[in-house]
Amino acid sequence: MDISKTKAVIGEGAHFSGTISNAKSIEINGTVEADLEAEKVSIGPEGEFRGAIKSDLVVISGHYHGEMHAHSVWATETAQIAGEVHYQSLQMDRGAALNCRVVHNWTEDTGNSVAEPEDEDAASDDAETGDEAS
Amino acid sequence: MDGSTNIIQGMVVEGKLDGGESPVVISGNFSGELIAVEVFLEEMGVFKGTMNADRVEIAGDFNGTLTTEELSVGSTAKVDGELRANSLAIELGAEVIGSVGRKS
Repeated sequence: MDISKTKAVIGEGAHFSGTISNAKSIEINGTVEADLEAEKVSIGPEGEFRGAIKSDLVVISGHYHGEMHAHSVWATETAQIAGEVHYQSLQMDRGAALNCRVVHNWTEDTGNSVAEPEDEDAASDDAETGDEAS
Repeated sequence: MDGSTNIIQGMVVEGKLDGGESPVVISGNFSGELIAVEVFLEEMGVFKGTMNADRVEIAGDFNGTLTTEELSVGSTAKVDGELRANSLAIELGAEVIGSVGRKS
């Protein structure tokens, strides 16, 4: 009970749609349709998340569909990801299913602060990777 | 509580939540629509909107419309709105403004 009180959780079987902000660390075990900003996001094996995520660390064991901007992304063996993943460090376990656009950001700092809008320098640095998408 | 949904202190949640079969614990800020079997609005919790649950315990701030079978309002609670409950307990010290009635 003590642990559960300090940890933000959307429980298994729960459905949520809306916005979630100011959560340091959040665990998604239910179905969520939201835009989310958090330091750490964990999508459990039964979890389903649709929407944008901005986070330092995202651990995915369930379903994700949307645009994700994260410093570190870990897709475990049960992960299913669709949409777009922007990352600086990516780990993928055997079995993880990625059906998405994967973009490495070596200029964008998605650290503790929210990433600033890409300036012209970043845009030109990204040009090489951007080509494949356009 | 395994499987429960926790909205922790400092967290701001806006939208529609269906807690499923598990309890929902609110210590943060929730506005919108909430459906659950059991809701605990903790002392630091703030709720604005419509709540529908079988059992509700309020120790924090509630503002809106509440429909429940069983409602328990604690001494630290501040409630403003419309309460519909078939079984009701209000602790000494609770601030309750609004209308109280039975669930139809």
